[in-house]
Amino acid sequence: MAITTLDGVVAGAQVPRFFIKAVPVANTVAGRPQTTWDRAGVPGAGSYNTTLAGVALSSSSTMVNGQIPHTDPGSGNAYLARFGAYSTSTGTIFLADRLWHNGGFTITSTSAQTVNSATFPARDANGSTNGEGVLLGLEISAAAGAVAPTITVSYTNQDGTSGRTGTNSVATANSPSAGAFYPIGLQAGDRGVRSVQSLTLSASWVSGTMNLVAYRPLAFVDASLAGTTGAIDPVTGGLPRLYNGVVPYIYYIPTSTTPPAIGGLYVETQG
Amino acid sequence: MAITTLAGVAGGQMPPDHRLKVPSGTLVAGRHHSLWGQAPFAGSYDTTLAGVALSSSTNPVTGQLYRRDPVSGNAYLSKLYASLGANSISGTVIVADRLWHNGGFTITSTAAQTVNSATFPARDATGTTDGDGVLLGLEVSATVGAATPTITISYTNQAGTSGKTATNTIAVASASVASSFYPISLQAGDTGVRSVQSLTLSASLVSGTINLVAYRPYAILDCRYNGVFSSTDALTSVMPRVFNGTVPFVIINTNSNPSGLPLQFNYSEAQG
Repeated sequence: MAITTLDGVVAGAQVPRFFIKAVPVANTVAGRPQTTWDRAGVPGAGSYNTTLAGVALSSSSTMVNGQIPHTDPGSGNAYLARFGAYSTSTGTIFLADRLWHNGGFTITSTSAQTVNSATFPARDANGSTNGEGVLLGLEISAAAGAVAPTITVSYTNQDGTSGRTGTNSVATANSPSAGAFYPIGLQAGDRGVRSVQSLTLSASWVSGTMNLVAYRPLAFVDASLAGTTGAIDPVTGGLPRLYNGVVPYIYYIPTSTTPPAIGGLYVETQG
Repeated sequence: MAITTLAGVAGGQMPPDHRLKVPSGTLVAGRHHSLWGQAPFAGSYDTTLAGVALSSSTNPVTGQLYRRDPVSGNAYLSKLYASLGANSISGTVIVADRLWHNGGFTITSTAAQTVNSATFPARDATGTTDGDGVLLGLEVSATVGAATPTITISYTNQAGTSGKTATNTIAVASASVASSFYPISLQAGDTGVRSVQSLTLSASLVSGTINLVAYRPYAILDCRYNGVFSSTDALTSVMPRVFNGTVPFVIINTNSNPSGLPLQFNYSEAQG
């Protein structure tokens, strides 16, 4: 079964879920993504895994602390029908599926730190574990030191080819605060990540805590004016499929240093 | 019965309710404001700590956007228009069901003030009293003093687990004006609130009046063009269910500091 008509969207409408997340612990950096995963609010704060292999995340049995609530459909499929979000300062707000995260890195090490990630859930762009559309990011969960290393990740791509490498696509900055989020680029020709083998810092980050995250963006909206809502609906959003076990969460790219609160509404349709 | 087609939406369309609100105080950019207590059609507040469950089933509650329960079948939001006045103001309009509110807090107390709320109505996300999707906010109904306390709430979550605690998501501003609305976070893992046990201020608020509100947002609307109506409909808002007895009210978040603006809303449901 699948939803193929607007009547199907109407018939399968699910409960709207409101979210609001507290401002970050410090000023943001214009153009640097920021996660809300660790922030208090609605939903409450998420936590991090502390092992290098990390943990696959799924809401199918029990919801993951920090995710926007989702319940798998009894039958048929789930789709994102509406996503509206506002920010108290300008930027772009993203909704993503959080597939996996880890921890346990030695933040002072400049050696390759072996990850050998746990298998990601079958929630890539096609609902498989191949990794199509699955991206990596590095989240700072406790403020790091006054250094700006390059982050290099060795991974296996969506075709199963190992030995691929990517580096942070947004430059790191000295002393990033908790919530700083650095997307990792893909090697030319790759479309996603199936697994992670290792992470290497070009210089010690002195102190703090960092975590790798595998995620798949589902939608984004603009907050081109502070306080206003950017929104997509079943037509303008294209009904992105939400695979069973999806762990929806919010990150954003601010355009200024003003730390924003982020709020909005998330609605699925199922059938 | 339920509406499952767009034709059903058209066939079940109810008359719209048009409301005008003119806030008396200055709304602060970046802060949520509730229009519940704003004239005309200003709502009142309860004055007891246990508070009162709110329902429009028998009579509308003064302050709400007008609606009535369907004779049979279900109700859904089918259209929402809003305009945030004629000045240079943009922002977000949130329509929520107001399930419960209270009053009677000692504004200077830093002790835990027992609430033990009256049972919320069966209007959580699935139409029960469990509390899934029901949130708490602190609403200022008379301007408070020059203090910025942390608000801590002890509550029972949607699964019936008591002893859960949470604080205000957005920092309290000094001398918050009437209508200021501070959403309360949830403890990690919770999806809503079944009941409230107590409220604690970390510092005296000196003067004024505060009220707790249990609410459940079900629509959100962008208003970024000065004085021009924005809208959402049954399809773009994805048919949010409006349970019998719902008490719709409006929370706004703006990007400027307007005062005396005529805020206009047009609310309609489809029923069937």
